[in-house]
Formats: sequence, C-alpha cells, structure tokens
Amino acid sequence: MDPQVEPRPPAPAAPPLAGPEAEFGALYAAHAPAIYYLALRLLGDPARAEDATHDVFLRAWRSLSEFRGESAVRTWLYRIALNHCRNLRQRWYERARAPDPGEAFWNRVSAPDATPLRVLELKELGARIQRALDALPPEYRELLLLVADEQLSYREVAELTRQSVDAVRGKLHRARRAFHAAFTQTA
Amino acid sequence: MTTDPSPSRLGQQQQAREQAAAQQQTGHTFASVEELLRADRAQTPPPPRLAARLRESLAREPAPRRRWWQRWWRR
Repeated sequence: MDPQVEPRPPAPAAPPLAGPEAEFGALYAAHAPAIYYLALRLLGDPARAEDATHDVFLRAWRSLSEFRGESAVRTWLYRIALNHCRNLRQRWYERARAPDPGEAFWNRVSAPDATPLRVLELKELGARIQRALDALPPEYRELLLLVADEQLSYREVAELTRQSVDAVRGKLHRARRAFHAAFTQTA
Repeated sequence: MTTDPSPSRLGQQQQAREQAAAQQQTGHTFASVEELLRADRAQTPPPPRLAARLRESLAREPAPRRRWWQRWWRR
C-alpha cells in the first residue's frame, strides 16, 4: 500500500489535561455557572462578571494550599466571589449610585411574598431581575442569590454572610417581600 | 392537492390556538423568588470563551504546591 495514500488517524486537537489542571477543569465545569451568575447579578454587567469569574478561579488556583477542606468547594468559591464582588462594587459603583433607601424602607413594604411572579417572555427575565435586585439593599441581594442555589444549605448561607441561621431566615423573609415589590415595579 | 380537514382535526387546531393565546396572556409563572432566579441562572451560562481565557491564565501560573487538596475537589 502506498504510504502516501494510507489514511492517517486524525491528529488530536489538543493533549488532554492531566494532573491538577484536569482536576481544576472539572471544578470549573461544575461551579463556573453558579459563580458567573452570582457575579453577573451582583455587578450587573456581563463583561465585568466575566472578568470577576476569571479572577475568582485564578485566586482559587493560587490559594489551593490554603484550602483546608473545612467547607465544600462551592462554599469556598462563593466566599472568594462574594469578597471580590463586594470590593469591585465598592470601588466602581457605590460612588455613582443613588443613596440606598436602607433596610428600614424595605421592611415597610407591604408586597406579599407568596403570590406567583409572572413574566410574559423569558428573554425579559434577566433585565427585570437585574433591575429588581439593583433596587434592594446589598445584603438582601446576596441572600436571595445564595439561597436560590439548591446546593447551599441555610447553614452555609449563614457562614457566607457571617450571621446566624435564624438571622438568615428572618432577613430572607423580608428580602423576598422586597424583591416581590421591586420586581412588580419593573413590569 | 387540497385537504378537507375533519371536524376533529379542526377542533384540535382551535384548541391549540386557544392554548397559545392563553400562554401569551399568562406568560411564565414562578412560585417563588428562588424559582425565578434559578430559571434566570439556567438561561445565563458563562461565556464559552471564559474557560479558554482561564486556561491561558493558569498556564502562566506555577503549579499548586500541595496535592492533598485533590480529595476535596468533588465535594
């Protein structure tokens, strides 16, 4: 057989990752959607959320030796992401934003939290959610986003937000009511 | 070729039109804020280029010093 016409096996596109890089790739695949979504809704901008998610995973890689396994990997990544996004918001946003009406204002909101939320089109969902979250105090915003992750327990949410589980439950109730009121106003 | 739809077929079409109209009016309903946020997260994946960007950044980083962390990865 002419060696020039002998079919050759296709060249591999890229060598498979091995060792820590492969493990880290699996970690990224498992947790990046949650971290990116948190960053997107806390920062309100896709490009900044992409940068923040990149930085969160880079920081995680650099601080692997400090991870003692006392919490789940997802909780550890959330902690890095929350700190990073809080710093960014403080730097970029707070100076330009209107003053926060404060928790007391939202505590007086009478919107129910048990009525269903409706949207006509799923494509409008992201923009409306962003506007509603932006109207809330940062603490409520973070609580709602963390509790929406089915993989986090209330205890883990409490650890991440540095408060008791009872405090989380109480504030969550008020946060849901506030979100309802704000979301309704975005229609 | 022309078709002469049967009464049952016409009934099905009418029902489908009514369902579509009702769906347009009611839209999508979410029982809780958490359910709403989960639906939003499901349709908001990270940009595909982000993984490649991170891989390039990691290639410039030194490998992590200790390997015992690997047992925690999949928790």
